[in-house]
Amino acid sequence: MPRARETGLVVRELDEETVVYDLERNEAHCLTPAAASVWKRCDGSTTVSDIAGMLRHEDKLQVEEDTVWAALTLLGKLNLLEEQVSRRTARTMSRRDMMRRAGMTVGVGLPLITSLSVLTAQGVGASVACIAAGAHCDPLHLNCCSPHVCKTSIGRVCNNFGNCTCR
Amino acid sequence: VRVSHARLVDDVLPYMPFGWHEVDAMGMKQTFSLIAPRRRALSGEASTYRLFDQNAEIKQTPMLRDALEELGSRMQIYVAEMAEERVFLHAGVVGWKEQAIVLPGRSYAGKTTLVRELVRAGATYYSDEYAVLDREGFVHPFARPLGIRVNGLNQEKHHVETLGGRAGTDLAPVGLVVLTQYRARARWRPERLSRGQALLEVLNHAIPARRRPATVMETLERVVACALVVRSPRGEGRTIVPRILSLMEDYGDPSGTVS
Repeated sequence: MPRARETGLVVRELDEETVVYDLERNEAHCLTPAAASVWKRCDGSTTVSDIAGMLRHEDKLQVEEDTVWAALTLLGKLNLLEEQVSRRTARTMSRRDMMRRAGMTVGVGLPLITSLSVLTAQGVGASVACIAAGAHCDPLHLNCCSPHVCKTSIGRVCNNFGNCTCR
Repeated sequence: VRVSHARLVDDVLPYMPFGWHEVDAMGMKQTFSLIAPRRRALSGEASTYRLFDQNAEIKQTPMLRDALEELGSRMQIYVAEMAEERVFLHAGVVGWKEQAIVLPGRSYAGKTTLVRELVRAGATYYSDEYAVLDREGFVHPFARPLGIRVNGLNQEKHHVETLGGRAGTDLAPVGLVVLTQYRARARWRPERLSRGQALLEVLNHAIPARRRPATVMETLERVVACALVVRSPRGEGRTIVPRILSLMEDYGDPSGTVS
């Protein structure tokens, strides 16, 4: 029986969705109501069949056991369960197939879970200007405006502070 | 901030973070150091400016301006990350009818251009770089000079008054969040996000998200609870401004819909 991970997470419940921040991986996930309901019921003692029944009767979601397995597999891959679930059919499914099957059965918009990697402060806020094509650059200047790179007049990558420009 | 030569002080001052003031050096938590090249470089020695974050070298460049821009950026990000009573979003912000319109976006997403166009349309200027939120989710003014790019490269600083606008002075609740980025010939098709999706998307632009995730999420939850959050690429700023402002108008109307 699956058990939801409890440590190393910041969890916020917004209406029927749940947003989870994984402190160990600096990843954040938004669980749709269906995924959130499955996750909430992973207490280590409730079977998958029982979870599916609860979603149908209590949450009024049209789900089958396959849907729950798909959600559990996804939750496991995202490290939101204590252990990855094991079910032959689910394991051989591609993530796309899992999500498609879960979405078709549940009738909710895909994807079940939206995730992102949270950037560092520098990654979020960097605002140093890139160097335009034709402008001087040096090997430690990694920010020629895309798609240009810092090169010498003969096309080689710069390794000194000579006549290097973004090309 | 430390510099190797007194002559660098005047160069550094324009790059200090908005709202800075001088304090006693005792108990300082963070040091940035700018080292100028020797006037007479030794044989084989590169003539470069070197920038350090504490003891770690973060940049070498022969161009002073590049070093200063990097220094300014690093200081700004440090303040944004470490401010304890505020959550800084990388976002433009304007005020419209006593509410804030927040425009999260990475560098080169076109935040300043969109902010400038909104100000031209009568919005109040709050910031072109950071939405500064308190714990309750209200936006505080951060009306630094707008950094308008010249030829897509360097920035020129312009006070909003010189552009015909006015700076906001009051706290403002967030009424609208627009997640957008300029793309040539993009069609404006705003998609309204659920609260969970909105929180996730805005979290992606929160400077201190990794350092204080619980506080940041709590603050953003308050923001998305009341604000309309939409997402769409956009074309030219002038054509999109009326549609952004109409979103605010429609959202305030119980019978309004996103269009």
